[in-house]
Amino acid sequence: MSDKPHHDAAPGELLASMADLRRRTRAARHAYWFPLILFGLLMAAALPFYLESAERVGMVGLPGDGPLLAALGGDFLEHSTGLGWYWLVALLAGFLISLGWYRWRGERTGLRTPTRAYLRAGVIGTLAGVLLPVVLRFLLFNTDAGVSGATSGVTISLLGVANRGMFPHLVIAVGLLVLARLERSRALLVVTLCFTAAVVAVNGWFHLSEFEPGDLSRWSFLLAAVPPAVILLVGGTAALLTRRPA
Amino acid sequence: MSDPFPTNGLDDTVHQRHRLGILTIAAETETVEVSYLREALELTPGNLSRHLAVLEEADLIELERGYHGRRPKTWVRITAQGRHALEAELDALRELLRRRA
Repeated sequence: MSDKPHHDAAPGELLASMADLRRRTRAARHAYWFPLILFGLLMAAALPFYLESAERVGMVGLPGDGPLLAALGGDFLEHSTGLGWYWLVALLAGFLISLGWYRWRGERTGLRTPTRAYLRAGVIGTLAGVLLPVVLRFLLFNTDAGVSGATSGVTISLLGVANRGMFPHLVIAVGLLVLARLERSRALLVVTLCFTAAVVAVNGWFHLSEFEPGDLSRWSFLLAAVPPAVILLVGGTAALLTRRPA
Repeated sequence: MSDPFPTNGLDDTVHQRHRLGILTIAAETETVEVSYLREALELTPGNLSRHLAVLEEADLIELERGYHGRRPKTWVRITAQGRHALEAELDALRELLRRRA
C-alpha cells in the first residue's frame, strides 16, 4: 500500500468514492426506527386518557387548577391530570431510553451518533410543556389589553394545543427533528414532518370547528392520539424493515 | 490575476485516499471505532495505525482509548481542524473536476 498522496487520482473518482463511504456510514449508523416505535407505543399507551366517559359533557374544573407538574395533560380532557403525569414520565423515559439505545448501538456498530442535542431538546421541551401553559395563561388573562390582544393569536392557538393534551406531541416532534439532523436522515425528516402535519391538522380541526358543549363524543379526543401514533409506528416499522443489519 | 490552480488547495496529509476516507467517516459520527475503519477501508491494522498516526500528528483527529468489557477499543474523533481540512480538500477536488469539465 502506498502512503503517497494521490495527486494523479481522478478527482471525480475520489469524490465518488468518498460519497459512497459517507452513504454507507450513514446507512450503518441509522437507528431511528427505535425512537419512532418507542414514542409511537408510548402514544398508543396514552389512548385511554384521551377517551371520555359516556356521561361527561364539557370541561371539568377551572383552567390551570390541576398540579403544575401535570400540565402536559391540558385542561379539556376528563383525565387531564392523569394524562399530564403520564406524559411527564413517558417523555423523560422515552428520551432517556432512546439515548441508552443509541449508546448501546454505537458500541455495537463502532459508530457513535452525537445525541446530546437530542436529549437537551427532550428535557427542555418537557420543561417548556410544563411551564408554557402558565406563561400563556398569564399573557392572556393577566396582562393589559394591549399585550394580551397583540399576542392572543399565538397564545390561544398554543393554549389550545396544550389544553387538548397535545403539547407532548410537539416535544416529540422537536426531538425527532433534532434527531433527523443528527442522523442526517431525509427519511426521518419526512416521517417527522408527516407527524407534525397530523398534529397541526388535528388542532386546526378542533380550533376551527367551534364546538358547542355536547358536540363532542367520548371518542372525539382520540383523534389527538391515534393518527400521530399510527404515523410514528408505520414510519418506525418501515425503517426497521428496510434497515441495514449492524 | 487568475484564480490559483485548485491543486494548491490540496493538502498532502489529507490528499491520500485512505486518510481522506478516515476523515470522511469520522466526520459522519461523534466517534468511530478503529475496527469499523479497518473493515470499511479494507486496511490491515498496521496500515491503519500508520494513517491514524499521521492524522493525529497533524491534529486532524484525536484518539480515545478505552475498554468495552475486557476488550480494548480505540475510538477516533475528528477535530475542528480535521473538519476544516476535509472540507477544503473536497472543495479543491470539486473545483478541479469543474475545471476539467
